[in-house]
Amino acid sequence: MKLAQSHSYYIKSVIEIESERERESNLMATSHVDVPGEPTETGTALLETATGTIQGFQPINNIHQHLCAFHFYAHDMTRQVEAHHFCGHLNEDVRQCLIYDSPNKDARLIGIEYIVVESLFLTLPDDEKPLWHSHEFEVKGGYLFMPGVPGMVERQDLKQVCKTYGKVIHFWQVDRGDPLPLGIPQIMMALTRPGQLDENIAKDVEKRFGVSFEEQREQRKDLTGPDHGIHPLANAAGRGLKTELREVDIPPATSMPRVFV
Amino acid sequence: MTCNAHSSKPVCSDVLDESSVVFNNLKSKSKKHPMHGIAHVSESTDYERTPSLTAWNTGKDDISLISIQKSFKEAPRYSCYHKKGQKKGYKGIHSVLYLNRSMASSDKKPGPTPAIGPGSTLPGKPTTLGSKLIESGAMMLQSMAPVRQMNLHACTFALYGHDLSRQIETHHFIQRINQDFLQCAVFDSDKPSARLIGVEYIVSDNIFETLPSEEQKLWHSHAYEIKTGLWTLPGMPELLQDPEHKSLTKTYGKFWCTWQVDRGDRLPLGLPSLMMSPQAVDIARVNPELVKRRDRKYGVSRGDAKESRVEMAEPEWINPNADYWKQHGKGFAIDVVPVEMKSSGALI
Repeated sequence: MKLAQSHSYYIKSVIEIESERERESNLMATSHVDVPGEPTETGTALLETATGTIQGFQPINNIHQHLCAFHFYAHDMTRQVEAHHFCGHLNEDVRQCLIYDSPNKDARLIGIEYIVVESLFLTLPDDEKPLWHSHEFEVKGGYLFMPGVPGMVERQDLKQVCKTYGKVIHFWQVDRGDPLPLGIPQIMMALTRPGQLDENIAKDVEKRFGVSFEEQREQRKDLTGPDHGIHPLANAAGRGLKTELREVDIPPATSMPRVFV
Repeated sequence: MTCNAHSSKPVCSDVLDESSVVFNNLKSKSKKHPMHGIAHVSESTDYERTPSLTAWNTGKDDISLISIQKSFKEAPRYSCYHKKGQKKGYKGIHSVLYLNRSMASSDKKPGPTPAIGPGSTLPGKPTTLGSKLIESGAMMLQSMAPVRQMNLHACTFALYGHDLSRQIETHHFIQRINQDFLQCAVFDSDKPSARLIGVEYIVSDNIFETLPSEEQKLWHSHAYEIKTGLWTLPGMPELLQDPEHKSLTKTYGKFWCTWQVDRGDRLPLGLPSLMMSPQAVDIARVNPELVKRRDRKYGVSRGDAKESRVEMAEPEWINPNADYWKQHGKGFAIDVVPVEMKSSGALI
């Protein structure tokens, strides 16, 4: 069965892979507040092992890259989060990423990032551009990196990423200890200037992943940002942004449901 | 509404409406006197050009429709060209006009952009070989542990919380964290080209009861969509799906949609929308055409599934705070507002 073949990864031995992961050193950052709930029952676990081998996971299999970077809340620069991006290309110019709070298998899914090249960013309406941030500083500053990938290979991709813009939304405020994804989505921003990143967070990540931001900065000197410069409306046009919830009236029951084209 | 100029030379005096701004003192190198006029933001459907301002001069000069292109080399500036014919009227460097328009919302149509179009076709170039090679390299060297945890694929339908008539087919790729909590990456299809359109979290009724009521309003119940066969696990025989459904019938979900593909968005625009689940109320029933299409694609039958799940125990009670619109006739939207950025002082 084709599906089975393409998921031989799962079939081969779930047990083998599981123990491999256990052997990996724990790359956990902050102390992990446990998600409330009872441990998974055996029956459920077995069923989900079965679905994992039988069903198709093509959109997930399109995710091929792990990037680590830092985000802060668009209304509060003092709250900073280590963000592990798992990214896939939709095409050369558009990427989509799932953001987790760690690279481990018990990581919590905390957000989403979309990355587009400059030419697509410029076509966004002006009320949309402030929600996006530039990547130039964090790439050139060495703060954005691909764990486990040698510098030379990493730089091939970072050459492109340096010129892109991203839109990050977080749904789970793990930095304030939320045990569950409470509240409304948060727009996040990325580093744009020296001195923004908290030193302790920086040192901790450098230690755990065996990287040095300063070294990377040296090596990435020749990378360039967007061809037209950083757009003045990006990065929230230099201001803070806060999301708010609003109640709306539901259209009356007589409205015709539209056919999905 | 006020209008802010980016540079120290304010040129904008008044905003007429969402798409027009009055400007003054638009200076040009070659012309002696400054331009005055009204600039209209025009819709551009061409990816070769960024959206442009079209202006005409109501001052002394007899210059008709001038098209202003934005250029961002060095300081932001506009260059002005004659629109009529190919003759370049004059070029100039001007201050940039930034309208303090309303900010994006989850339920408002975005401003003019080529990033919305029929079929919501993705803009941009096909992935290059170079990028694919980098990805292969990364795959071999990196651990993708978190994403490898997703081992359940469910296909169901969701409704926009601010407009229940807008309904989409969703593909949830689900990871179970424990018996009471699951996290899902939601896509618009199950193909490799699928777009990531949101995230849903699912909690058991036990967990749900511990949430404050303000939080509960954002969640929806799953009993109806599972019992009526809307929710299905593609590729799995119905019998095998049973145990999973039994535990999920009593759950609640919170689903944020970040890419409104059904609206024609070719790129993810706006703020996330809170989504709701189908319910046994007229305005929240899924369009049968949508269901038929999905059923044909996967060779399933919603009717059959519904029948086989008839014996499935329904939750004795669904918390009235969930599916908030049912009792209150109100949905939710997300806005974003500019605020003072909180920083530790020396950082901005």
